[in-house]
Amino acid sequence: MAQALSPEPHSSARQSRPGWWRTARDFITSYPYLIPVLFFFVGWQLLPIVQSLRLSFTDDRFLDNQAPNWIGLDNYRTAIQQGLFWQGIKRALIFTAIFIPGMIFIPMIAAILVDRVTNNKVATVYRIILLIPSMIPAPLIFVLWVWMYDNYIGPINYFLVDRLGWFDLANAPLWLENNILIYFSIAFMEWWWGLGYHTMFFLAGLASIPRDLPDAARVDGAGEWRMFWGITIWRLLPIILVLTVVRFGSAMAVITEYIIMQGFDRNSSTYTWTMYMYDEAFRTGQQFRGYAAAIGWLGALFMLVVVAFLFYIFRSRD
Amino acid sequence: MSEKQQQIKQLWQDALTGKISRRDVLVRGSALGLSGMALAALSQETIRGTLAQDRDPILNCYDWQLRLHPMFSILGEEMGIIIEEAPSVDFSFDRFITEKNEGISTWDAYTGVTPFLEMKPLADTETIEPWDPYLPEGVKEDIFPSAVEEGTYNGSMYVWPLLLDIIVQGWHAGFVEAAGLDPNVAPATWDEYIANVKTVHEAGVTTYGVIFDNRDWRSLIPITHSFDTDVYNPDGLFIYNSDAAVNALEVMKELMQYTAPDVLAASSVDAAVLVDQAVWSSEQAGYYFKYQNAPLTYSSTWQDPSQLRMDKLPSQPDTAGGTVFWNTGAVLLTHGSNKEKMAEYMLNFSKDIRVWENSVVGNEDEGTTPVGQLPIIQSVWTEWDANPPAFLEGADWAFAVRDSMANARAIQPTALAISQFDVARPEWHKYLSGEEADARTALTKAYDAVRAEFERQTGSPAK
Amino acid sequence: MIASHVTTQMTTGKPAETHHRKRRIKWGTVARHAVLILLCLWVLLPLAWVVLLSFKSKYDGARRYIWPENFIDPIFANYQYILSQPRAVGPVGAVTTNSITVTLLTVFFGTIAAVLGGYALVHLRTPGKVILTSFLVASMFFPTQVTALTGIFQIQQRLGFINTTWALMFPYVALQIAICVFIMRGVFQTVPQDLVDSAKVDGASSLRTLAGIIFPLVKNGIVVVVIVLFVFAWGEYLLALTLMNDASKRTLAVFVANSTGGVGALDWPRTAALYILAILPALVTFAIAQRWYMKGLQEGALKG
Repeated sequence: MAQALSPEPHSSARQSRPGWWRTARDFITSYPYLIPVLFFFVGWQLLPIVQSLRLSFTDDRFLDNQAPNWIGLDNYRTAIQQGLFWQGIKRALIFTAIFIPGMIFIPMIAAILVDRVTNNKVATVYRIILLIPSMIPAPLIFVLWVWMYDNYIGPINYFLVDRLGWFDLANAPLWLENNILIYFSIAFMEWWWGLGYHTMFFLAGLASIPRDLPDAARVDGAGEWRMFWGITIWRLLPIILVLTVVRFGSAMAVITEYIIMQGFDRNSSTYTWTMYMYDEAFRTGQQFRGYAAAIGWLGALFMLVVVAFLFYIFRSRD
Repeated sequence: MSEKQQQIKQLWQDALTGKISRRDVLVRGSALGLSGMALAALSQETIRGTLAQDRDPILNCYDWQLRLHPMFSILGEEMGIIIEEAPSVDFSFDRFITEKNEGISTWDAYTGVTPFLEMKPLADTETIEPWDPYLPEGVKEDIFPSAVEEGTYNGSMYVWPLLLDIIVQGWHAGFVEAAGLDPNVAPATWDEYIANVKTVHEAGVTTYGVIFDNRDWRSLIPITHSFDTDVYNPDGLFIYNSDAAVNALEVMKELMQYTAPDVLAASSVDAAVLVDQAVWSSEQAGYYFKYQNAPLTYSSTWQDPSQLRMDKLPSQPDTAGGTVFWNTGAVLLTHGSNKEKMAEYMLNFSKDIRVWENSVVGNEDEGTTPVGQLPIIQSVWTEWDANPPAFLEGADWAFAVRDSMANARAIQPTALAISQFDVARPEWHKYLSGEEADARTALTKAYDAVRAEFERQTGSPAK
Repeated sequence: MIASHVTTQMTTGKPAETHHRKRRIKWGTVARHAVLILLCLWVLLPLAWVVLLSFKSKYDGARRYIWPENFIDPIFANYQYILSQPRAVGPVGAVTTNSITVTLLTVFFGTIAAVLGGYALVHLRTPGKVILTSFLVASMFFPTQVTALTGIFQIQQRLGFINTTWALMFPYVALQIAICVFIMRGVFQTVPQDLVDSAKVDGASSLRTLAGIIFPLVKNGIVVVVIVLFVFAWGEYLLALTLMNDASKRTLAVFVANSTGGVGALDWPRTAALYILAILPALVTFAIAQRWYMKGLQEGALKG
């Protein structure tokens, strides 16, 4: 970032022009390049966000064919009083807490191991295989794991029950039905999905560690273990922190997984605030879009507060 | 018709006949306050608008109807009617209502309506109109009276019933016999049913005694109806804490001992694996109750599918019980056209023997398996009584289903449609899971939750 | 759980320790490869299971055991069924075309936007860089796809884009634009400013500079952007489900995910065949592009 923001080198010819002239000129020469980005970003990112904010202050119902009325904070008030909403936040938080450690440390270990593979071809094969899941369409990942976890035709319980005999059919783990187990089951699937992609991040981080650093340490007689704690982990810390924040954002807002793997069952651990939002906006009755927008905003605000907090604690340790 | 509607209609006419340019359509349309959706439809080349008689008749069907009943498409081809797949996954009907709000309809009719779910909202918004003016002579009298009642709202017939679904019991004759029971006799009461299920379960001839629908309102309501069919309040809401419903939930709880531990597994509508499907198709249960499609279709993977037996659900003696059923039927879209032609199609479909042959035994050429949905026109049955077609040989269950229509009642339509079950289900599950010891308490809480939701949605308290 | 099965295989399979320089077995190396092979098996076994399922008969497909008693005969019968029974299977052809259309459009416009944007943010004097950059960063932490879903719906509706598949491209590009711009920014930062400046001194316009001099240096990074957009557009579910209510207007991913219920004739082995057909395009694309993709990742795409 520092590089991008640093002033550009010497162009003395322009020095004589007034400042506004230069700005205008720079504007004309650079902004044509940004038009496509701005077109998409403003049109389908900023505008929808603003639009949903406006909606959240109205009683808009999609199917009633009436002009929506401005009702101020009523939707927010209603949502905050709903147990379902807070339960939804709580469920999302539990999932996030289970999901993040595995999503960071499994790829980190994989990256450290791949990084030490000396044969380039073999290392490439590992990378490619680990990346395969990230190339599969998301909904199909979820369908795949519904199959995996199934108690009847799924291979996991087949091994546990029929091969290993650790369980019988009556007490075999119901990976997606048990309200606690399901958090782990979905997290495990997400780890599978993100393994390769996140490994690549750590590999990029490891590549930036100067080679002579570990070598010098080795000469000093440091063991692998001490080297990891002494050098590697500190070099990887920035990546760990960034991934924690980014993955917090995606885990709290998970929805497709839940729609495909569980559906809109209010009892299920997967009926989080995102599901509640979707249910109200697109499924229930006349489709309370205004109310749903308020739920969406409350969830987003909650997330942003936590993200800001994470930034704060991570910053202070630098 | 208001002045504005006149103007909109004029605009459609001009657009369709190519009198004005695309640009003019957009300008005039915006001036009339039409939304983007209508404008896009107006300026498309393949436009099929409100304009009546000069467009090809076009009908749409729920996706599973097209998958399971190739005759929908075949008959359409024969009659010169375009058949499309409906925008109605997961019972959604937004598209019809939004189009109606724009004063248009892409289609003339839609065949995928389950009356208690969609009829009321569609009729209240005038998205659909009654069939009565277009019904050929004598047809209404020929449909099972309970089915006419099911499709009637405010005195008019809005849904033309096409495919009859009844919750039936199916069983695996081999397992039942191995457990020492008569494989050809269906248990007649719920007490007998539970006893048989227990016997099969404990005999160890297969994994479970029984399996049923994981979307368990489709189990709760049929059992309730077998005790009493008078279980709906004036708003159409199911009276969850009625005696019949309490009895039914207790029956379900009994059955829970002899079934798969995850029988009530939550799942999206089109989940990859349904528990009942998985259990039944791999021959792991003795008894099964669900609409007749399920035992029939899922037994096609058995070692010997001829072991399947089906009959009507048990009932309780000395009660006002009957059976529950639902039809999937057709509605006429208000802004559609070719309405007589649609009526003709529905009548032909109902009477076409190929439809029912495909439904009962499947159709190899089209790659479909049997689904077991049955005709709703009584004269078809009268003919079959006298002269049973070959494909019904050995399918006694079909006649049992027909017989139970004599004392049957459909689920009542409500403003909440299917969401009443979404709201109530967590509460009654507390009894099934053991969290709440008393069935009536759990069901009362369910009823309270549904009434609160009703008030929230409609703005007026439930009666 | 899969891992436990894997361990048994591990003892018989020989870990890839063949490239050893010394005779003495290095247990550290063996353990390293053992763990990596375990991870690879974790990745591959579920997919292998689906491939196997797609060759099973209806009878075996409904049962618990993994290895079938009989494979279906002919062996590709399930695939053949998917491709030859449009009435029973549904509009596979239409939804595939939809997916291809929207994916190509998303990749095309998204890549152009990201390349131009990344270039402007690194190598041009762009007023308001800081503000722009921080907006883009902020958008990555905002759950737009959920919170703004109602807004996206309204905008698409106003524009007449409900049930217009290609128009999914707009929100698709928008949702990925921040990450793509940052990938390109990271890549452009590896190109020395001097190189850009000297081209300008030679009189090349900035567009010419980008196309002629810089482009060859960043093409691996562009492959990364292309793959990110491709995978997203090919597999997006929520918007394709919500904004398209005509079944024939939806995309392949939604169609497959929603038709796995085994309803009617579409039993599990046939569903598995459909599944394999649906994941192949992205995997093939990746197989072709992986060389450049890996290089692109190393060249700074991950620094953003």
